[in-house]
Amino acid sequence: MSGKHLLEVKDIRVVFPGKKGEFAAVDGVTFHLDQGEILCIVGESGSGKTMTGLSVLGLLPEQARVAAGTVRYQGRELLGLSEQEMYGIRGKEISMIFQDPMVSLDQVFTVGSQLVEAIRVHTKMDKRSAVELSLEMLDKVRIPNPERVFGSYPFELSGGMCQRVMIAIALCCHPKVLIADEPTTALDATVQAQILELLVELRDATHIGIILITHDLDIVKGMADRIIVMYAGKMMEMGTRQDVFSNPLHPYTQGLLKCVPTLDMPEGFRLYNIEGIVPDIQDMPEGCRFCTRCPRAEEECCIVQPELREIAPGHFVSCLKVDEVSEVKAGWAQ
Amino acid sequence: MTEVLLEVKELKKYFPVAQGMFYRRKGVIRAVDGVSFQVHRGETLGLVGESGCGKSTLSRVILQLFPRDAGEIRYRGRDVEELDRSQRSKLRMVFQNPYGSLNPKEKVFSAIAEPYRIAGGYSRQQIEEEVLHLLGLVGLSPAHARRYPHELSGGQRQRIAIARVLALEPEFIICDEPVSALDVSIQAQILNLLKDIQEEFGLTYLFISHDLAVVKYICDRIAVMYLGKIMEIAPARALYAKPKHPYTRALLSAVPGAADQLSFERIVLEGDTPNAIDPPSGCRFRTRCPYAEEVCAHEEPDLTSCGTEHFSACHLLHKLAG
Repeated sequence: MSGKHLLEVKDIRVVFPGKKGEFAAVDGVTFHLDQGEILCIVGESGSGKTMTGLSVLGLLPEQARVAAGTVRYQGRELLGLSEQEMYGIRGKEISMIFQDPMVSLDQVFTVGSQLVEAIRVHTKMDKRSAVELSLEMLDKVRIPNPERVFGSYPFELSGGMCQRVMIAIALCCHPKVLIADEPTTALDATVQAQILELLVELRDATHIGIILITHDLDIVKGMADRIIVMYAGKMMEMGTRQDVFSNPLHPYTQGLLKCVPTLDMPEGFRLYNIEGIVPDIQDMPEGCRFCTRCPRAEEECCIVQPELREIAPGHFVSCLKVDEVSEVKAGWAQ
Repeated sequence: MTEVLLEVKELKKYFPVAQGMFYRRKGVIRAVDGVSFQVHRGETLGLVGESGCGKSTLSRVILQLFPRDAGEIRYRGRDVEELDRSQRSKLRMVFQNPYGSLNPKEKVFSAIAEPYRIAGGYSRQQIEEEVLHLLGLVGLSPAHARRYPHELSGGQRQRIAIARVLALEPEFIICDEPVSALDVSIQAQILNLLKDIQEEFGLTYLFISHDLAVVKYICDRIAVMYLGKIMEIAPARALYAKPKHPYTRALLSAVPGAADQLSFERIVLEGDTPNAIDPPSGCRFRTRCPYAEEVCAHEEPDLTSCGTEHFSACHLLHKLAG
């Protein structure tokens, strides 16, 4: 990978202290993000997708630490930066929105004061122009009647409205990267559709790069330019939407696609079972982390850790058996 | 059509809203406001809607966890209040949160054995046999019987909840978002399990969910609720292929990535669901409906037939055809 990408994350490893010494919640995650791109990180709970997002901004929980890897933003290394220097990055260059907007907003301040604060932390703008910019931002995220919402407290607004406010706060200083961690999981289906639509519109208008973290394959299918599939802290597969949905190569991706009910599923189709459960994060198998549930696992898989290999341009897979697997057609056809 | 197992007629459940120093009644939330439907033996009726539409309240009123305010609930032709204990035990429920529905101080064995102990007339050995049998049915090993709920994963706990519901030969099971709290790979396991046991025991389900794809997978017929009312009820295939109600169309439009598969004009709704304390006059959906006309504000539409077993509550049915 060249240094021209907007954001480059390389071999990042996030460790937590555990019963038997440190364990890695995220291990060897490598990706890049370009301008105007939506990169989806998809995985089940405990797959490390949230920790990956947090590690970029240095927002990991106190007990966790980044044990290895680099995070480069426009060529600048972020990992060694002091807290003071990170302040200049967070919100200004890279912003983040979280799952539950009700929790992320402070309930005792008005929406307006939280927006103005976010703007004035990063710019030398006087109060009046900050207020103006705030109203403009609220309008940009399609909030009807921005003046009223500006003076409202978060608890007076619905979940969808709060998430719009969060997006307005996240984008008010024109960051170049937005990390959205399950931004619509707490919202209803019709409101979710509105918020996702808004994110795509904003991307088209401002060319911001978005990392969208989600567990919902439907969202990924509708939004992603490129996709990372994570399992138990490791990247299983990375590729364009076309690569992952039409030609999934990792047995986990293949299983995942077949075990989620979709609207275009043929009648009488039986969902595929990925047998078993995710292994304990503190007690991972020595080899491939998916080997305990993989239908194609062989002895070798339980001993040797597979590397992330580029199978086709831009399409990375971490599986020892990928050459055999690729011959099996995935999806409904099987 | 087979025998009607459960019949609900004009069911209403209002919750009073009390506020202020003397808890003065400020109004009522019309959680369920005149809902009628039938469930036939052996079928799965899906109930979909967004949060706050009253789907969970409806399920709890059917099982008498909340008293109803008006309407009828008949099970095999008899009002549910008149059922005796053994008949009542034929109606069961699986809840959304398998963490909350199991007693953390109780071992799995005793959680599953409880229905037998309450019913009485089982020897200790019989109970043990039954419990182990049920554990096997839901895909767990006898070793799990000695565990506490916190030692199990979410999927395993939901299996325990299902095993418990299968005790004493139930006939009608209400599944209230049984897979919403689970990861997708586990979700598929539980959905397949529910399908298998339905086939094996001839069970009837009322399956509540907000996920249209899940409902499509498991249900024969589907009812769509909005603000305490059923907007549309139809066989699954018809509902997805030819949805009649604008709200159903909006819900289907809202499924990410489904935009290019719709057989109708995509609807992205504006705004949020109105407050259930003061629902809009006439059709409840009119404030968000892109097609709303004069008549929608004045008259409340009834469910009218618009195809085989297909009913929709909309004034503009004939205009929106296609």
